[in-house]
This record gives sequence, C-alpha cells and structure tokens, in this order.
Amino acid sequence: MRAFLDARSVPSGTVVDTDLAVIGGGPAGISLALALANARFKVLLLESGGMAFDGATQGLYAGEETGVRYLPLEASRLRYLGGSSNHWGGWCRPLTALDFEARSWLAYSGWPFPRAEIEPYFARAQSLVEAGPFIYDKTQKWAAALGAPIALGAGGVSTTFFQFSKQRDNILPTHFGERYAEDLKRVPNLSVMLHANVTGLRLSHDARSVDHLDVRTLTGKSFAVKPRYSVVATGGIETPRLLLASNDVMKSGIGNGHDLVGRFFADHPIPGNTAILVLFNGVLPSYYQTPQNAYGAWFRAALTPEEAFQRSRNVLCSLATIEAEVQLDSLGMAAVTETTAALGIEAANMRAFTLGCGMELAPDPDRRVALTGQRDALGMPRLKLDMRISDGDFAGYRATLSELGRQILAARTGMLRILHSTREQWLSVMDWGNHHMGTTRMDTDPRRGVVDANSRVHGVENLYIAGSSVFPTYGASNPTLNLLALTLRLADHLKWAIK
Amino acid sequence: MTVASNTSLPRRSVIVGALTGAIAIVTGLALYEAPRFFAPRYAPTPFDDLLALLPDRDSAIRIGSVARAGQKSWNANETASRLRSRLRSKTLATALADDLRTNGTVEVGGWILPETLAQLCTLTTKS
Repeated sequence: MRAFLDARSVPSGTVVDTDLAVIGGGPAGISLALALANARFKVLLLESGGMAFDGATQGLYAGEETGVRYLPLEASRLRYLGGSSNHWGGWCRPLTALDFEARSWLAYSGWPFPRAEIEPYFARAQSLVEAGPFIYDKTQKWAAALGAPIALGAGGVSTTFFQFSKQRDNILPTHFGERYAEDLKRVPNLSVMLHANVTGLRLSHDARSVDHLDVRTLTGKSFAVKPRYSVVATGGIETPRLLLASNDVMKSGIGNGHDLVGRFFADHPIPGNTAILVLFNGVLPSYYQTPQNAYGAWFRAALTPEEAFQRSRNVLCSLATIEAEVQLDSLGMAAVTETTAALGIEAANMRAFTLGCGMELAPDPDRRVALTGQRDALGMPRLKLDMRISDGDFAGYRATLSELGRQILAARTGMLRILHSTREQWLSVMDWGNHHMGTTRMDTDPRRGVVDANSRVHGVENLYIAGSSVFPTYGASNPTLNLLALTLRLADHLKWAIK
Repeated sequence: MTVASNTSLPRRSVIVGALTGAIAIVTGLALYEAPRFFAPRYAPTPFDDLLALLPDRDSAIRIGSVARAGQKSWNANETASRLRSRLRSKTLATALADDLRTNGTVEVGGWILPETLAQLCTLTTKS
C-alpha cells in the first residue's frame, strides 16, 4: 500500500517525471486512476486539496457571477479528494439515445458518437457510484410490487426512474475520496499527491504538446511535473480556467484557437413548485415521492417527455418529480369540481401535490466562464460566470407540462395546474443542480469543439479532458453516472494510446 | 241504550293527533322544497340552454371569471354560437373527451382544462 504524497513536502524546483498525470481528484480523476490500475505506465493523480475541507483551498474557487442569479462559484463545488462527490445527492440516470443526436430543433446539438458507444461502460460506472443493479426504466416491473404507476394514459409524457448512489454501510451517496482512498493506495502503478495545485499547463514551443505542469502549494512550494500525457479532470468550471490561464504559448489559452473554451457553460435548472398535480383517486405510490428499495436498488420515479413528443413539439428533455402534498385554493377546487362532474369522474378522494423538475438547457455560447483580472492566492486568474437562461428554455418545459395536463385528464386520472407563466415567475423559484457542463465541448471539428471524440484537446497531442465539461449537450439526467461512463471509455483509449 | 262512552276517542286526543300530523306534513313539504327555495337564483341569460349543462354553476362562475380575464377579445354571442354548434349532436362529456383527445385544451389560471368547458364557463360572466 502506498501512502498518499503531500505536495507541501516536495522541495521547490523539483521535477517529477511520470507517464500520465491526472489533474483533479474528483469522481472522474479517481475513476480514471482506478481504471488504469495495472496499466503498463505510471500514473500520478494530483489533487489540489487534502482529505477534508479546508477553507483556504476552497477559497481558490471564488469568482464572480453575473446575469441570472446563480450560486457563488466557491459554494457549488468542493476542493478536496473526492471533489463535488463530497456533497452530491446521489441521483443517477443515464442520458438517453436522443440526448446524443443532432436534433434539428436544437442548435449546436449532436455528440460525435451515439449513446451505444458508452453503453458498455454504464455497468461499471453504476458500480463505482454504488447504485445497485443497472435497471432504470426496467424498474417499472420491480416497482409494481410497491403499487402500480400513475395511469398517465396515451400521450407525450411517461414515467421514468432515477436510481441512487448509496455508499456501502452508509446512508449517504458515494463520497469518492473517502470510499476509494484505500483502493487508490493499493494500485501499484499509481501515486496520489494531495495539496498539489496545477496552476499552468506549459506547452512546447510549437504548441503541439504539453511539456510540463506548474504545481504550487498554498505553503509556497513550487515545482514541476513532467508527464508524457495529461488528463485534466477538474470539472466544468476549473477545467476551462486552467486552459485559459495557460496562455504563455497560445495567447488565447490552450485549445482555444476558435474561442470555445469556457463557452457553452450549462447547469440543470431545478425550479421548485413548477406545477400542481391532482390525482383523482388520491393514490400515489411511494416511489414517486421518496426513494424506495427493491432488490438492492434505490429508485424514484419521475415524469419525462417521450422521445416522440420531444421530436414532434421541438422540446428538450425534463424530469419532473412529485414533491409535497398541498391544499387547493378556491380556483383549484372549482376547476376539479366542475371538470370531474362534467366528465362523470369520481374525485371524492382526490389529493394534490407540487411538482419540481430538472430541465435541459439549450446550448448557448454566450453562457460562459471567462478570466478576470483578479488573482487567487496562487497567482492564478479568477473566473467570472455570465449565467443565462432563455425564454425558450422555459417555454419548452411549459409545453411538456401542458401535455401532461391534457394527457392525465384524458386518462381520467388527474389534472394539472402550471404555476408560472412569466420569466420573472420562473426565475423567482429558480435553483440549480450544481452540474457544471459544456465548457470544453466535444466535436470532431475543432471549429465546433475543444476536444475530439476521444476527449483529446484538438491540436495538442498529449492532452485529454475527463468529466462533464466535454458534454456538447446536457440532457436532463444528472451528469455523474454519464461522465464516469465517458471516463472509463477514455481509460480504455489511453491504455491503447500510451505506449 | 246509548253507545258506551269508553269506545270513542277523547276529543283532546283527536285534536293533538291532527295537529301532529299537520305539523309533520308541513315539515316534510318544507324540507322537500327548501333547496329550491334557498337555492341561489341566477339572473336569466340568453345562454341558459348552455349554462344548464354545467354541473356546478358556482364553480363555473369562478372558472369563468378567470378565463374571461385571460382573454383579450371575447364575444358572448359568438362564443355561445360556437358552443351550440359543437354541442348540437354530442353530450358535454363527449365534447370534453374530444377536446382532450385532440389537444383542445386551454389554461385557466394555470389549470389545463378542455376548451369547451372553459368557454362554457365564460358565459356565466355575462348576465
């Protein structure tokens, strides 16, 4: 077992040689390191923080936010081993096949490969997040024992399922640092160095390869790592920051020859109380409101637009969850009374619930992170996030809700009230998922993407990026399971590429 | 010989019995007629043939006022004419089911309702 190294004890001026440097000890970095166990090359995992939260290290994340109200940059991520898995909610769901397609109604859409390309990696990704057997939409059969799903009838919305990460012997989701620390120590070809902040990727003079990494500590140490290959796995905000700040050779930043690095930032809006759903018979299976366990899997149902509906109505994906039970106001009582009586529906036991949701955003190049003139304690330029959400994003979700309302009433099962119609109303209930995506997007064309289909930075032969920053579109599914599948695919590529 | 006096009802008993019966009849009639007597009375409208289809007038008034507020231009006679045409050969329940099947829904205060029902309710706002 190899103990973790501490960068604060490395003498300044040292040059550390390795075959592959993995920058960032979050879920992507840790999973990549474990997947490369017993590879024929040496791996060095560099993590900025230590084993626990530290205020000074966390403060390196601080920046500015403009535009639509968003979380402070230092609040939505955690900078120690395990990264943001140290505070995630554990929600897991694979992206759908449609999420990977170039959709005619969605500019900038289309991954360079179909979902089938990463499907072989979902089972291992599921195992890494400890979310039980990979069942997802087959869950409906298993869930039936806990109650038949809501009879939505024929239409554009259907029930789908999340599964949940649960760290072994714990009620919390998998915290990758805590969970895999001992496993990392057992990997013979791996060294893990904590408190190691990579402040620059230094390119060769011809800009075709990374020559070395600048590493600094908050205690004032400064040394270099000289890898043959590098993978940046620092998340959707810090990854573009590092590329943009590494601008001594390429003045616009590494991989930024077409001004794409930092653009197309996305998160999942999760507005609360978007609608009220009435169920006429008052019966709501428990798995719609809280995670339930069956056969070793924790799962919870959500309502999502079917692929055919998305195509026909040009809407994006969303996942609506049923939340708290509520009482109807006088208009609600009148609506239910009149409608059910006119249709001859029995509703004496009716109950009403609020809906929350996670929405897919349309890619927007102007929603971006960019460097500012401010510098952090290590001398790295800080970031500013210009956060945006379009009226079209809200309109698409409203269309899905409207279809759900039509469909569930046609099925004589319930009714729906959409609670928000103006932009101001939507923004007043806005919250965000802390899912940072899109800022080094993937495309085979360097004019449209920062990385190619193998997550290699265009034009830099030995630099790769792992994580959700490479997502060209975002889906409505939480990104962790999906970025892990991508990362495991990258691991297989590196085993072939690194000679 | 006269009929023995112990075979006839005392006069007081007859009077009490008759009064009790009368009170019961009056009470029964009152209970029977009370809903009609105390029911809300709505001013007659030219659309009473349509409004009679609504199962709950008060709920319809509540819905109708919100639906009307949400419409920039609304004409009662035109609305009634369209509804009569739509409901000429089908029941209200069938018309509503048809609306739901063909995406004929509208939002009233956010509630997704069959269009026919929402339009019918707007007529309650025209006295």
